Amino acid sequence: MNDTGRESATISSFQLGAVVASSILGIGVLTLPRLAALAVDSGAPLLTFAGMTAGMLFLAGLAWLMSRHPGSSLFRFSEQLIGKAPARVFNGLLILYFLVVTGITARQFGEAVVQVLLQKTPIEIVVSFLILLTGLTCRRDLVKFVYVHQFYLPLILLPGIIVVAVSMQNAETVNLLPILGNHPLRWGDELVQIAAASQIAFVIALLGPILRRPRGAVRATAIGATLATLLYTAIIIATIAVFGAEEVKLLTYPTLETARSASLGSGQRLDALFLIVWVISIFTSVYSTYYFCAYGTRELLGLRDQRLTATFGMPFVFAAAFLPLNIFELYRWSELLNLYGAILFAGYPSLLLLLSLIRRGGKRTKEAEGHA
Amino acid sequence: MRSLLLAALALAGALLLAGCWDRQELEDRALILGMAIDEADGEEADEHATHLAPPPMVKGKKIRITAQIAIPGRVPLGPSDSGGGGKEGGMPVWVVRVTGYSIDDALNNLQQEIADPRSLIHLRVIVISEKIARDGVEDLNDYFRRNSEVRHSTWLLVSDIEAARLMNVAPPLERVPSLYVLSMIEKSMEMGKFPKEYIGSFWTAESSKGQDEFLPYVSIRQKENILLKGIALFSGGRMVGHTEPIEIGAYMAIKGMNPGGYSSFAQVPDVGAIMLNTFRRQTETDIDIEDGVPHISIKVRLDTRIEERIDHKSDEFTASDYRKIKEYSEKKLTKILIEFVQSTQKLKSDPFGFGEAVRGQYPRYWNRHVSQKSDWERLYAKARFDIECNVYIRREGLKMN
Repeated sequence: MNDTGRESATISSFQLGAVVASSILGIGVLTLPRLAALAVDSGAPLLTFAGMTAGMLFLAGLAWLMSRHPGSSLFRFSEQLIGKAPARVFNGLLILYFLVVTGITARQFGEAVVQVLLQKTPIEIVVSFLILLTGLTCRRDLVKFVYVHQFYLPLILLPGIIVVAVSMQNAETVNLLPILGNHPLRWGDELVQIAAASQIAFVIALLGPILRRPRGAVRATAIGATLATLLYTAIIIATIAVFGAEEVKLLTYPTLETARSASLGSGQRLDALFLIVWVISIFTSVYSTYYFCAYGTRELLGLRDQRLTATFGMPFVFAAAFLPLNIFELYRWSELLNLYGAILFAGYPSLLLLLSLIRRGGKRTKEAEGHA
Repeated sequence: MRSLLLAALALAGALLLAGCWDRQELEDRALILGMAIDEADGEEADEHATHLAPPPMVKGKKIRITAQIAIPGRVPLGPSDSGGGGKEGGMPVWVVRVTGYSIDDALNNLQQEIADPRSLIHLRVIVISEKIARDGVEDLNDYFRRNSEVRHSTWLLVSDIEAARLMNVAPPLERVPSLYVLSMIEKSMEMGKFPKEYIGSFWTAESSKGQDEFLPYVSIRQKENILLKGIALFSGGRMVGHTEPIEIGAYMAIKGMNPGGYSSFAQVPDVGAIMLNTFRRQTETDIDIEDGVPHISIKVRLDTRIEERIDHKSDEFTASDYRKIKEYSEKKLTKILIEFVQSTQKLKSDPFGFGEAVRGQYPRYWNRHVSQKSDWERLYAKARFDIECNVYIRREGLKMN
């Protein structure tokens, strides 16, 4: 497969960071405060920060791996490192995982829309249009994939910051104390759940062939992930500060309620602004996961581009979206996916990185020197 | 063919994603503006809209909802509307009464009676009777919390008389009764006469373990006037008592809420009766744990001005009596604050949220002693308070004696 054919245009480190940030900011915007509050009460902001940072470490590992194998994507260098067959199994697993994640995320999006915004629209319509939109956008090449992320990132960040800043007017500092939470023992499990938000940024593993400066990959990824971490943490600080941990535990969509109860001047509510952030952030996340599936399948099958796979994958995503029968199963699915995903996403790149380090010593390849 | 397909898809997308599926004309909704909840007399027949036999746990506990439904076209939209339209139309709202075993049961019965789908997006005021509040409101709130239409900035009020009567007051200032109740309470908030305690804050207090919820306590005077009578205090999810109006000021002073709005009237020895209006409050709170109980010291600073002086004999200038007034009112106001706090302790109701401060500052102490709300309520009753009130008289108006 010719990786560098149509996709010879290169992307900057900044753009790589943008892909990371806008991929990570996703469904968690809506539900993360509740998950974190359930685990550690008022320790939620710190837990989130820690969880996201942990996720960032694994992403940085992946970026390091990319910088050691410049010019090739995950699908290429994994085959070089662990052999064709095992690499294909793992990559296939990743694709399958992301396919289900795409579906489950689309479903969570649909559930929220149907509960809060469009109560009469059947959820199937909402979900299928999100999938359709994503599927059609995924037909384009990697450079355009990056452009879409780059374009939408400010539209996620700016309204996000405004919502946080305005909701802080109802904040009570005492709600954030003690910063470790009242029962600081239950950190482990939720750390994994929160770190899972970073999994979506795994899509950068595809970008190897079009990176202008592979050496800067780690830094760019870290900057992008930090941006996402900061916004997530800020959202959670605002939500916990406004409602208090005990109340957040009871709210299905705590962040939405924060935006709903804050007002800008004369009774103008902030939900509209928040919904902008939220819809776009979901779209970019689903776009990343589904792009990974489409592109990955294309690589596995050795096709020329991913138009075919992007189109024919859609029904499978739709099916995955409706695997859980109700909202309770949906949450359980998403929890389990995060957990098993964590094993896959922490284990696989670590294994590759280890092999890469052993095979080539600590040194970069000549190819890498050439790119740098 | 291909482009035709894409165009059709784009059109469908534009229509569906823009929410046209959910379009609904304003005239086709029954917009509920206000709602009053009373206990039912028990003689009403069951409507059986949601059940054939009521669930055993609610048997005999019927409630009556009086809902104000806006009549499209008759609700005045602004001051300019006051002349036209209204006269021949009469009341701009339609008052409907229904009974049921729960909020949703009653609202389902309501839906059986009216044509348009009910909608709570413009629900601004919910009034509950004292009896209902004393039986506990958590179950009532469940419906409102689940429903995504209900705003967090809705007001929940407790009335000492039949709540339905507040749905019928039609004062001259505002033509829509529940909007009058709304503007009454919102304006008190702006004037510093009541804290910003929307239903959202009530829910937050309800779920937090270190704070008890409270609500505005209202009544009706002279048939049409709504009186803000005090704060309805809750403990363990039930209303347990209420304060006097000036104690709302005491509450706000202890919390350091601004703007200040209450005046205190006291007879200062050798000077006369003085009315001091508080316009700014500042408060410092310190919490320690001493001998296993929270020790809470509160320093309140009030900036005031003299509004009125009743004094039959003296011609003295206020300037020479200034100290006396200051010291005496400090004593008097401190007493009001202390007595207010003590009365809440007696009721085991902590509307201030001192428990939250303890939870934040002394998590170990908190974890050892508190696992549910009632634990804190017990501790609160035992807590020791040190309250100090400094009164600063800043000005006295346009007269010097």
